[in-house]
Amino acid sequence: MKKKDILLYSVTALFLVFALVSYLIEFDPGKQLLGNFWEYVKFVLSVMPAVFLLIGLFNIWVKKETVIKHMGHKSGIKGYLLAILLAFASIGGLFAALPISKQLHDKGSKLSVVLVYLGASCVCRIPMALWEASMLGIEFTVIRFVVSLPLIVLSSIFIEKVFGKKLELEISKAGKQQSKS
Amino acid sequence: MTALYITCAVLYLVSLIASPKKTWMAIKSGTKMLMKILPQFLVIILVMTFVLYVFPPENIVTLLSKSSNWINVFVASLIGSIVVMPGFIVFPLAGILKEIGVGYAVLASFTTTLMLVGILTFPLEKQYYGTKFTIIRNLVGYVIAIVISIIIGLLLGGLV
Repeated sequence: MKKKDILLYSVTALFLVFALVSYLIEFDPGKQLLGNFWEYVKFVLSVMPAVFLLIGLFNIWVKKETVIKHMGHKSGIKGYLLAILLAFASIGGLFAALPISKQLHDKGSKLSVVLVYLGASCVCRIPMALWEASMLGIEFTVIRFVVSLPLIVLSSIFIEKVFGKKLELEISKAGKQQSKS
Repeated sequence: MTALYITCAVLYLVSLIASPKKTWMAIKSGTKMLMKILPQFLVIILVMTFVLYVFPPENIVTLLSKSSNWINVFVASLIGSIVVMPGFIVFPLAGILKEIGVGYAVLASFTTTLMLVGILTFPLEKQYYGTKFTIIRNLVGYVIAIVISIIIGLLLGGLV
């Protein structure tokens, strides 16, 4: 385990000890914090095993050439459409979108496609949109989709054009999600 | 969520029939990636817990029910950018805000920055993509969120 991971785990462990003590001495803020923490952990981590198992499956079965062909530098508009479709079906917010997009990147997807996937999966996940529409009205959600998708695609192409090389360099320094591919 | 697990199970079944060895490799690969990021996940959720404890959703309602819509669009975008909230808090909260008469532009600014900009998730994003990428993506996300809010305000009302 890396030093940083040990530190991060220690922070979480420390909190759990604090929460446990809060329970024993009936310290209300501590109890409430633990309750909230547990709710969020359940919410975020309940989907994560499935998400990462699917990423694992993708990693082993899908060839690099396939991703390069459909989402790489010569993929054109099809790459963006694929990224948007994938984002529609996504679940779990940024916590899931980051590892999924990174996997696409590791397999040869170009930066703008990765950015489109990230942006679209933040704003335009269908399961989330249904929920939003029921609360804020269908017009609201439709306008947001129609306005945001072109903006996301254009800005992603712009970012790739202007910062592409520098960013790729830094991403390769951050390393792949898994050391061996 | 059920659909996700069913999809996962079906695909694994197909994979298992095609090649047990590769399936095992896929499980190992997925687990490894999850374990690599898990400590970061936990700490961000922890920070999220504390932020929402110190600054509970009720405060957001109070804050956004005051002052004019233009200022509120800005205030909402700042809250949305900093805080990370799970959907089960965001949408009921947005529903309450709508009911007490908060304008559509403000609602758009709040929900869109929540989704597209994440200052609390900065360390997580940085671990995957590095600092520059994270800064640029979040800044651009903020601009997009503001544009969306203005357009929604113009179309659905609630800007002036």
